[in-house]
Amino acid sequence: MPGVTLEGVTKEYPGGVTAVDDVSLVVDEGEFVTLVGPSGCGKTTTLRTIAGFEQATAGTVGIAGMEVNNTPPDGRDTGMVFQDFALFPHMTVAENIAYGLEVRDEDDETIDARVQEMLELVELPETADRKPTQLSGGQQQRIAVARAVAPKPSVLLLDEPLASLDKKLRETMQVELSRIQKKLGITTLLVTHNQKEALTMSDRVVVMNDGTFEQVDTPEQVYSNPSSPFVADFIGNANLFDGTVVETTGAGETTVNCGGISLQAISSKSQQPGQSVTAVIRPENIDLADRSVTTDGGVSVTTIDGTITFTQFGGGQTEFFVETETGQDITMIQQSEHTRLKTGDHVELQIRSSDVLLFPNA
Amino acid sequence: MSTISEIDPSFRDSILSGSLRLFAWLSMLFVIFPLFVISMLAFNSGSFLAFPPEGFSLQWFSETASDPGWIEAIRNSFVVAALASVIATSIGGSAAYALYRYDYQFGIAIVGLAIIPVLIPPVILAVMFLTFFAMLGSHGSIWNVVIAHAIFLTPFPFFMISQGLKDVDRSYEEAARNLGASQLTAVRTITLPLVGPNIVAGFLFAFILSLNEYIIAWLLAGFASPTVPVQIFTSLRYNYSPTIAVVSLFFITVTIVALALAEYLTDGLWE
Amino acid sequence: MSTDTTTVERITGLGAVFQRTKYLLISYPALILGIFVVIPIGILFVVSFFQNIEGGFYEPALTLENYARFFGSDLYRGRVLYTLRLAAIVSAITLVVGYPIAYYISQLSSRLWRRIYISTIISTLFLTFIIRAFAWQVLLESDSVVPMIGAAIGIMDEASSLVPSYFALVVSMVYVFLPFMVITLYVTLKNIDRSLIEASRDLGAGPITTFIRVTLPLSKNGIISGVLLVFTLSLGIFVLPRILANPPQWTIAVLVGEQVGVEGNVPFGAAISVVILTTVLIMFAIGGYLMDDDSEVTNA
Repeated sequence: MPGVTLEGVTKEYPGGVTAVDDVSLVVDEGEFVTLVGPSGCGKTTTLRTIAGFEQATAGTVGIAGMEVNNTPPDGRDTGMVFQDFALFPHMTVAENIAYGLEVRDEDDETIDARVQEMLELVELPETADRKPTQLSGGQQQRIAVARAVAPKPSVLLLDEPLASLDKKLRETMQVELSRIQKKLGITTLLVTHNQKEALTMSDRVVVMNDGTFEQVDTPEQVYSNPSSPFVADFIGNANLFDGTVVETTGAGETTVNCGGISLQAISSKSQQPGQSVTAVIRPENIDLADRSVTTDGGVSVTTIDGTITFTQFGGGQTEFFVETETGQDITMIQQSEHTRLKTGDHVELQIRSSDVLLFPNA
Repeated sequence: MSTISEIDPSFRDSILSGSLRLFAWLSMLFVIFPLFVISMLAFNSGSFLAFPPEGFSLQWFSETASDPGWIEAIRNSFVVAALASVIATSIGGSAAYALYRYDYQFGIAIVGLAIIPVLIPPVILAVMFLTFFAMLGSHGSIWNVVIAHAIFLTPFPFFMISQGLKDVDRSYEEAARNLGASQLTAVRTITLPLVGPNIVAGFLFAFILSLNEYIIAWLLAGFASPTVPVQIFTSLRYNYSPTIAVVSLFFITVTIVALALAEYLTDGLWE
Repeated sequence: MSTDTTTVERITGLGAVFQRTKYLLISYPALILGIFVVIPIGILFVVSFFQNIEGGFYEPALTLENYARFFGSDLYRGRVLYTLRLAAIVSAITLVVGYPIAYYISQLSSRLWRRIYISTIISTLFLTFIIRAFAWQVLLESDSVVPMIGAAIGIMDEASSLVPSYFALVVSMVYVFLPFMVITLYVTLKNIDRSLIEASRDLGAGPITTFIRVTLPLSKNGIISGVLLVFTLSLGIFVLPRILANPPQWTIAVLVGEQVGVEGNVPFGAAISVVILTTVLIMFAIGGYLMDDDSEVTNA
């Protein structure tokens, strides 16, 4: 039985703004799916439509196999963790967690047992009688999750849950959330603008742009096989170049002219000469050239000359901004301890054709 | 200016803040003093209102308690105040919540209507309602006062509850609904407790304002069904007895207690 | 992309319930306010054109005689000007006296003391004007404290009654409206960012300079609100002039009350009310316009 289904869901606001445009998705029971995209892409609207706070203008929303278009939020079997947690300030932690059960008229014994169980799940049993304002950000986070899953919903929805946490806490909570989700086996939908979160926590990733789902795939696929320049740029880092196809050989080897650089790429789709394309290269796939080779492991290689214009130290890795001899900008990442490059150095860059992604421009 | 800047800065600062403090204290005294005067008068043993009082006596308290005119006036005042405040709070509160929860195209008109009564000088409000009720054929009725007061007072609970709701994040109600509460339950268990203090404060405000209101009460109910302010006015003109001071003291006490309560409940009403 | 407008408008099931509650909820206050605010104002306006009949009655008519009498009479025209002047004087004095008080309270560091001060001030706000007028009447009477002190100091020739008088009126009005001014100013002053003051001091300006060039301009909105409030209240006050001043010194609001309550000439009272109401609305429009200008922090 699918956990959540979206069929052709559209959300239009009066005034002509289309926040969500004809999206479809099937989330399997127990699956962890992340909706990721830039601000304003419609991901939160999609989540709120599933929760029932927004009504779809077209399409069907299904939860646990039932169509819920006309069901109010309190009738849907979802548990939501809000971005600012929304823990009721006038209630204790225990009362907050108990709320969903109280509203369903469960008996006191069941409620107490469940509250205890939830507190142990999130490893915060000592906070039961405190008020939310007395908890730290990370603790509030966990209590918000506990509260959402206490009534045993079939779907867990998370709206940018880690946005207000500092980096260290965020990383810890990513692990925590995954752990809790696996333990409960609950169908989970998470919304975030942080692509790293999407990659680390999910079974599948939905990359959203301007109201549509650009790609729905596993994290590995979304990263290494982006379906569009947008996805390639949003997930991970990318260098993007506009170019024209010069020629293709039978094995898919394609030469592309990018503003003077003759780029070697491998393309699974045959490209016609003259075709306008976008070439995408990840900064970590750019190496310093070894002059003696034109192929690397049987794959052809492009060599580019350039000068380092800017260096950005980032701890374990250093990012180098290079201006090529053709006047274009390209970014390269090296392990900090293995490089002695600095601003002003002349470099020769080497790119394997198998590391170049090509996307035809419409 | 240059003379001042030549003085040692810390000395100058303390002189300035010292004189400021003195001024503030004197002003507070000025504000409180007349009320102090009235209180003294209530205990006066002499038979006329004069300050300083002649001696100490509680006679006027018993005089007032046995005067049917005053008893009726006090009863009228409290009944009117209670009813009008409840109505005002219901109108102001429902308007405040509706505007908080939903977006209306004509929302700004509602806000305007809810606030206008406080902008119109009370004497004009009195004339307005007089003509209004006259059209309906009702003259000199205490119930007209209740209605007029309810409208006149609506802006206060409206404003107070709106302010309180501003601090209640909309996601609280959404979280409650997500957890399975109906809209009504969500409001009852989450929103209401959080703005409760503001509702009470708004009610108290309205109550006290109604107690102390003169001109509307006079024009609409006249001397037939007087409230305390109307009765005081009559007494000032005709018999000038210290019972006025007793009743005033009583009202002052009620006012202060109600306000202290409102202040305590909202934990810093004016912050 | 679906551009079918009927899809958007046709809200079924869940959406319909939502809409119903939304309009149901607002209908209660909207209806009541509509009936009891809009209609009375309308009636006031209409009645001002009615014909007065002796003895407190009036008949429907469309006559301008009420307005003609008002604008044509030296008494009434003069009284309007008198009232405007009085309101201006009271507003000015209240501003000058109230600003330091509000300023002092706003920069107190103890929250408890701030609450005490503000609560006390607000308490006095609620006391009926009558009680406060009454207090001042007692104080200013011939054998009472204030005249006796006045005579002793030598300001007055003898300890005669200071009430009813213009002096009593102004003093009592300032007294009664001071809390309004203080509270309004206080709210604005307390919201001024402390760091702006600190920045000014850090740049070398003394406390007086900082006040004049930073605090004062930033409190402009509060000043305008406060003055507007006191001015409007002055225009509408009935009790204080009625009790503490002589008939020639009664404000226009008192005349309205007397016309309606004593003379029984409702249409005329309505006409004067309309004039006053219009004046108040114009004042608010002006005030609102003045307040829309962004306050500038003066160039250092």
